[in-house]
Amino acid sequence: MLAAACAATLAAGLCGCAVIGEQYVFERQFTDKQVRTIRNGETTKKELLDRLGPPSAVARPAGAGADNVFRRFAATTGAAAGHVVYCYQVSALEWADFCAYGQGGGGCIPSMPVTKNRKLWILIDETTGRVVDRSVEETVQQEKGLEVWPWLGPA
Amino acid sequence: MMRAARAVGVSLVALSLGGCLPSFALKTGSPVVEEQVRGIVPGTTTKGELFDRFGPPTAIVGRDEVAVVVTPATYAAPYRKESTYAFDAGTFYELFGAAGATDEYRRIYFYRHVVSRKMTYFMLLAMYAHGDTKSDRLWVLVDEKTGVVEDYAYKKSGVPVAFGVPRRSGTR
Repeated sequence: MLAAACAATLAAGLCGCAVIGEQYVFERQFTDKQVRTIRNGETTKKELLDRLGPPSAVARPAGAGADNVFRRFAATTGAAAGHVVYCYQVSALEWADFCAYGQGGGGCIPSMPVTKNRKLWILIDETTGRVVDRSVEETVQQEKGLEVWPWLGPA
Repeated sequence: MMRAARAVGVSLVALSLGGCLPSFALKTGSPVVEEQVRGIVPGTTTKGELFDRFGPPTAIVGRDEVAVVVTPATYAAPYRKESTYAFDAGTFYELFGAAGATDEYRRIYFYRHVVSRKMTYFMLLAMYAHGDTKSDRLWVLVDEKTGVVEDYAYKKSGVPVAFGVPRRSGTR
C-alpha cells in the first residue's frame, strides 16, 4: 500500500502535469446569512445600513437608469413614489489552468477566466422606512480570451 | 529499523500530497485604527484633527459626486501597483440621512484600508489558490463652513457599522 502511494507520487512528479484552480473574491458586501435575515415588511433601512454599510448603488424613481432597476420589483409596485432600491454586490474572478511539462518543456493552458457577480437588490419604502421586497441575481461574465503560457524546457 | 523507514516513507508521501503556502498580503491605504475612530467627537473634532490622526483621506466628496480614486497597492515594499476604485458618493450619504439645506457645505471624508490575501493549497495533481479581500472603511461627515465633524460611520470588515451620533431605534 505504502509502496503504491510512493510510486504514484513519484510518477506524478515525473510526468509533470497538474490542474491549478484559482479564485479571487473581491470586496464582499453581503453574505447569504445576512440575506436570510432580511424580512419584507419588517427589516428597516436603518438596520440594513447598520449591518451592511452603504450600498454600492442607489436608484430612485425618475433617476438615471431607474426603470431598468425597478423592473425587478414590478410585482410589488416597484417605482412608486417614496421607493428606493439599494444594490449590494459580491464578485469573484475564477479560472483554472491545466499545466504539463516534461524534458522538452511544457506550458499551461488556462480556461476562460470568468467573473461571477452576485447582486442583492433591496426595494425600500422610504415613507415607512421598511424593506418591501428583495432579490438576488447571479451573473457570470467571461473575461479575456484564451492564452497559452509556454515555458522552455532544458536546453 | 522497519518502523523508522515506514515513518520516513509516510512523511514523504504526506509532504508530496499536500500543503499550503500563503502569499504576501496586498494592502491599500493606511490602517484605520478603531481606538482613533472612537476618539472622533461629533460637534467637537475638527477636520485638522482628522488629518493629524488619519492622514489625508482616500477621497473628499460632496453629495451626488462620482469619484474615481487611483491608489497605490503595496505587496511588500518596494513592490507596488496602481489600483482604481470608483464609487457614487450618493451611496455614502445614505448613511447620514436625507438631503438638506446644509448639504452645500457638507463633505464626506472617506478612508479605506483594504487587505487582500491569497493562500495556495497543494495536492497530488492539483493546486488551488484562493484570494480574499477585507476592507475597513470610515466615512466622516464634515461641515466645511465650520470645519467641524458632524458625524461619522465606521465599518470594520465583517462587523456592523458604528456611528458617531447614536441612531434612534426607529426605522430611518
